[in-house]
Amino acid sequence: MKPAIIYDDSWETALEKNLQNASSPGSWPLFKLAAETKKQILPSSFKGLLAPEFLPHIQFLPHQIETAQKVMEEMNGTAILADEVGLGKTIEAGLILKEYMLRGLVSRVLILAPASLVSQWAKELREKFQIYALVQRKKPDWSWNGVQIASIDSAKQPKFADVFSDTLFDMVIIDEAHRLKNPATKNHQFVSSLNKTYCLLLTATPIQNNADELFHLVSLLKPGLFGNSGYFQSQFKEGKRSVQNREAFHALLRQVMIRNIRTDIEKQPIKRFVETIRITPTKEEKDFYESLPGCLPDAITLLTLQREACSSKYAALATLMKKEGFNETDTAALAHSIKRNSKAEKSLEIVKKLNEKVLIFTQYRATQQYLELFFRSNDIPSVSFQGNFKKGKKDWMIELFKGPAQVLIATEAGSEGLNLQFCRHVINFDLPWNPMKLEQRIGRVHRYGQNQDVYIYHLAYKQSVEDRMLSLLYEKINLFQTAIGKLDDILDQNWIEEHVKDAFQTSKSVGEWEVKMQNLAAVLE
Amino acid sequence: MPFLRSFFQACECPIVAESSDSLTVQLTEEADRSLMNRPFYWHYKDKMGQPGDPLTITFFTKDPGRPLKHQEEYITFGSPRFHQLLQYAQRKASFIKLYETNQSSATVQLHPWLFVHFHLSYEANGKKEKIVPLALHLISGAFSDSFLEKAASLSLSPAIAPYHYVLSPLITPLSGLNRMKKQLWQKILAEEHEWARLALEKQKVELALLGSFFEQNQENEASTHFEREKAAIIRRFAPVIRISVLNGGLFYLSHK
Repeated sequence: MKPAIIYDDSWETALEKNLQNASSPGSWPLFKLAAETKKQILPSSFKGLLAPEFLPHIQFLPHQIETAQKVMEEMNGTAILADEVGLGKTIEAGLILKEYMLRGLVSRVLILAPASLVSQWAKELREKFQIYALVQRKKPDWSWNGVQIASIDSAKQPKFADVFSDTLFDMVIIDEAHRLKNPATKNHQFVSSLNKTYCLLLTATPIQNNADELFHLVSLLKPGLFGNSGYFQSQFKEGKRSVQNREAFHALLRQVMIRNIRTDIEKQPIKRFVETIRITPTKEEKDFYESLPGCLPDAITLLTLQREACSSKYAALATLMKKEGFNETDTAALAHSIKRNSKAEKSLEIVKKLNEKVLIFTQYRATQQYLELFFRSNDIPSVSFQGNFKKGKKDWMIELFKGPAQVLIATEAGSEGLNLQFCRHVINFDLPWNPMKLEQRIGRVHRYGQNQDVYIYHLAYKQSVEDRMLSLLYEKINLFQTAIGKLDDILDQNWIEEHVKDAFQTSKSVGEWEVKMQNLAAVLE
Repeated sequence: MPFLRSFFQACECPIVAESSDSLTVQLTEEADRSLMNRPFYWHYKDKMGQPGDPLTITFFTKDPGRPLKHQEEYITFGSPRFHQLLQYAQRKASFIKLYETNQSSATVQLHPWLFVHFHLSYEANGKKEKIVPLALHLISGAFSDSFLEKAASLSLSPAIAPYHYVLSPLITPLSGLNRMKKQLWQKILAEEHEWARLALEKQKVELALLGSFFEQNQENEASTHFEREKAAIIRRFAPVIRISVLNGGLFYLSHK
C-alpha cells in the first residue's frame, strides 16, 4: 500500500523571486534555529503525547494522561469521556484538544457547553492549555477559523442551519452530553447534523433512564457500533431498561467510552458515608399527605404532588394554589394546620450537631425559600443558590458560603460544575428521580481537592412515595452499573435490609409483597 | 529555553538580563513591529514622524508564581508566543544565500550547493513528522550526507568576500530542487508503510459498521446522514504524506 503524496510547492514558487532579489535572504542563525527547533517539537511518532511537555505548568494526573493517549491512539479522536464527577473531564478534553492542535490535525473547533459553563471553559482552556478560544455570545460569528465555545441553545437556532451545514469542524466537543440522549430532540439532531472529523462527548451520567439512551449517544459518535436499532434491541436489550449480553455490550462500549472511577484512582480514596434517615411524619403532615388524592389540580399527577409534599408543604402548595377554589378545601385547612416540618427539624439537628459547613439540596424553589427562613430564624447563617442567578451573584453566594454562612441551600439547576471541596456534608432534603442527579449533587463536594471523608444524608418520610422511589432508584443505579461498571455507594447498603423488612410489614397483600421482593431481587442481581 | 536566547540573538535584540528561568530583551524596532502586535502605536509614530520606542520584554520559562506585570510573559512550548517566534524565524529565514569566507590570501574557488530542509508529515488516524535535509552539488549533481555539519563549522557570510569567486552551476536551483524531490519520492516509496495499511484496515472496519447502521434505512434524510458520517470516517483514516519545504537556500563553499 503506497499512500498518496501531496507536495506543497510554495517554497518552489517563491524560489525564482528569491534568486533574483538579492536583498531578501534570511540569516544563517535563524535558518539553523528554525530547523533545529522544529525537529525538537515535531511529533516523531504516531504514539505518545506531546502536550504534557508543552504544558510544564500543569501536573496532569496519570489517569488523565492515559485517557488522552487512549483516545488518540485507540479511539482515533472519537470518544465519550465519562469519568465520575470531579475527576477532571475538562482537563482530559483540553489535553486531547491540545494534542491534536500541536500535531496540526485540528484547528477549527466547536465546543458546546451549557450556557452557564461557557466562560469557565474559556478560562480553563486559556489558563491551563494556552488555547485562546472565541466565546460566541449574542451575535455569533461561526466563520471563526479557530477554537470557539458556544451554548448549544445559541448554536442550534434554525437561522444558523445553513452556516453549519457548510462548515467543517476538525473537532467538536460537547460538555454535559447526557442532554443528547434523546434522538427526537433538537439538541440531538443538531449535533448529529454537524460536519466533524473528531468528536468528544463529555458526561458523568452516560445513561439516565434506559439503555436506549446509551445507544443513541454512541450513535452520535460511531453509528453502527451496536448495529442498527433493531439489532441493538434484539441483542442487548432486555425488557424495558436492562441490558443483556453484558460482556459483549461492555466490550463494544469500551471501544468508545472511557470511564475513570474515583476509587480506582485515588491512592487513599476519600470515603463516602451514606446515611438514609427515615423520618416519621407528624400527624398533621401525614393527614395532609393522605388528603392529596382528593385535591388534585388538572394535569398534575398524584405522584408529582406527593413528591412535592414530601419536600415541604410549600412545594406542594405552589402547585395546589393553581387549583380553583383550593382555599376552601380540607387539604388547605390541613396544610394550614402543619406548624412543623419534620425534615427541616432533622436537618437543623444535623447542622447543629456537626457545626461544619453543610450543603443542602432540594428540588423545589419553595422549599429552598422556606429553609432559608427556617435556618435564619434558628440563628444559622445560610444562603441560597440557584441556577438563574447571574454569574456575579453565584460567585458571591459561594464566597459567603466559604466565609460566614454555615449552610448553602441549592437547587439542582446551576449546580453543575460547582466546586465546593471545602464542604464535606451533603443533606438531600428530597430525592431526585434520577440517581445520577444524586451523583451530580454529591460530586459538588466529593471531587478532586477534597481531602476529608464525605458524609451524605438522605431524608425520606416513612411509607411515602419517596420510600417507593428508592427502589426504582436502585433499579436505575443497577442498570447504570451493568452498563458502565461499578459505582460508589449512592445509597447505603443497610437500607436494603430495611426495605426487606418494610416490604413485609407494610404491604397490603401478599401479591404486593411479592412484587416488592422481586423488584428488590432484580435490583440486587 | 535555549531557543529564546538564540532567537533574540539571531534577531539582534540585546539581552538585558538573564537568569535560569527568565530572559529580558530589548526589542529592535523591526522585532517590535513584527512580534508585539501594536500596529496602531507604530502607525501613529510613523504619521507623526517620530521614532518609536520598542518594548523591553521579560520572558519567564518557569511560572514565577505571582501575577505577571505589564511586559512580562510566561512562555512554554505550548504558548502561542513560542509558536509565533518560531514561525517568524521560519518565515524570515525560509530562503538563505551564504558564501564561505576564508582568511587565506590566495583566491578561493566556491562550489554552488543547494541545501533544503524538507518537512515530511505522515498523516492518517494520527500523525508523525520528520525533517529531511538534502544537499545537492549544483555542478556534479552529487548528494552530500553530511552537508549541514560541514557548513556549520565554516565561517559563512551573506556577501562574497574579496578574492573569492563562484563556479557557475550547471544545474539551475529549480532543476536541482526537482532532482531532490525525485530522490525524496524514491526514498519514501521504498519505506514500509505499515501505518497506512493499518489505517486503511481500520477505515474499512468503521465503514462496514456504518453500513450496518444504515442498511435497512433507505430514506432520503438517512442517506445525507450516511454520507456525512462516511466522509468523516474517510477523513479520519485516509493515509497521506505531505511534503513541504521548511527552509533552504544556496551555499557557496570551497568544498566539493
